[in-house]
Amino acid sequence: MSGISSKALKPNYSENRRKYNGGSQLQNKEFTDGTGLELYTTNYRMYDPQIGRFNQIDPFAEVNEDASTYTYANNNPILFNDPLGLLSDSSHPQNLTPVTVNPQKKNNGGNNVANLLPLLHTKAASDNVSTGIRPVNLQDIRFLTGEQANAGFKEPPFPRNSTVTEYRTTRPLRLVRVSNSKINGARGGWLVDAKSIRGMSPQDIKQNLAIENEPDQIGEVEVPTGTTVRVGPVGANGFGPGNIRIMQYQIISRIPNESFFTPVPLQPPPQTPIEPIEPIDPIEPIEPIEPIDPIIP
Amino acid sequence: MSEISNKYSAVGNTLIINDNEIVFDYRIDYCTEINEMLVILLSIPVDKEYNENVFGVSLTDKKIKWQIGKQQYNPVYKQQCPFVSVIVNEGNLRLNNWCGLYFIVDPLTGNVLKKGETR
Repeated sequence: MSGISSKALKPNYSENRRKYNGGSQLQNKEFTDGTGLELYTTNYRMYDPQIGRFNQIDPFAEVNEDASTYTYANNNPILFNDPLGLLSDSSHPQNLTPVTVNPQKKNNGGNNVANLLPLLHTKAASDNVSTGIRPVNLQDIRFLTGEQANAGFKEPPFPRNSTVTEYRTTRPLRLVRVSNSKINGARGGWLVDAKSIRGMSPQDIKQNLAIENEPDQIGEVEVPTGTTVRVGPVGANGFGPGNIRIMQYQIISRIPNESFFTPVPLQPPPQTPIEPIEPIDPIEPIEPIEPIDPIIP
Repeated sequence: MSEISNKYSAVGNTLIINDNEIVFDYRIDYCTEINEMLVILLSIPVDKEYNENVFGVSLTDKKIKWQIGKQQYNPVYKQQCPFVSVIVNEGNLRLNNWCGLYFIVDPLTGNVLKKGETR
């Protein structure tokens, strides 16, 4: 947007490409066609400073369920930023001091509790104060590199250079588990969002999730509130190439057996039936033309 | 779980084999037969640290023959990972635990023959 760009005032200065969304970098050199597309890249999404929103849906949407999934920094870029594209102020949660908010004092004036809540969220507040914004308790969030999250695995689940987010769920999550009934069973700690594998064949699921075997069943799982989970993209390993666009959930704290619904057989994706070609009617033989009688002069 | 066959039944924590009762510390979640052995999986509550939750019971002696050994503490999960499924397939007894590991076990002795990762 050249009209409001700092380059319009100071054309000889090198451009500051890290003005917004601390740490992430403006990618305006990718587009040389004059479209004015100037996007900031984050680990998970592209941020468009011209409209103040992300271009992709929040991969962490279930955490901040009351806001739009494209919102940037709780619609409050003065106080927050989101360099990972996951959570407001997700770059330095360790610097924040948690505060206990007494819900009974919310209307006493003075402290504007509602403004503090997006940053300083407590269980008491989440249960009793309606703010329209419900982020997670930042104390419960941890960011790991893929390499850290892969520690102990021979077949690494996450890409080495990815970001894996560990947090405690603030509401029940509805996910699915794909498994092989003859090999690993319906219960286990690795889950995905059903949407991310919709329409895939069992072979595709094995390849995209980089799992040991082709699944033959799928079961819904309701992960209870308060469960510690890790979320990150699927990396390549000895089981398959993986797919970094699919977010997988590693359930760290065990959940009750009742959370796992009875699995159903995994159906291969419907294929459009090919209509049989109707046989062509046999060509009736042409009757030979009788020779014309020669004209008698 | 209450699986009934002509040889045995399981109700709550109790396994009954021809009027012989064996009482376990936790609820019986699943049982399956292989080579005249009954393999028992116990359901461990989420707040309990216990991962030796698979037993082999002889259907002929009506006694516990083996219990799976204790697995290593898993630092990622910050807990001991109990077994969550027992599967008999093509003569192999396979145990899968919560943390994504599997163990192929000798059904007669409980010895681990092979282990690896699953998801």
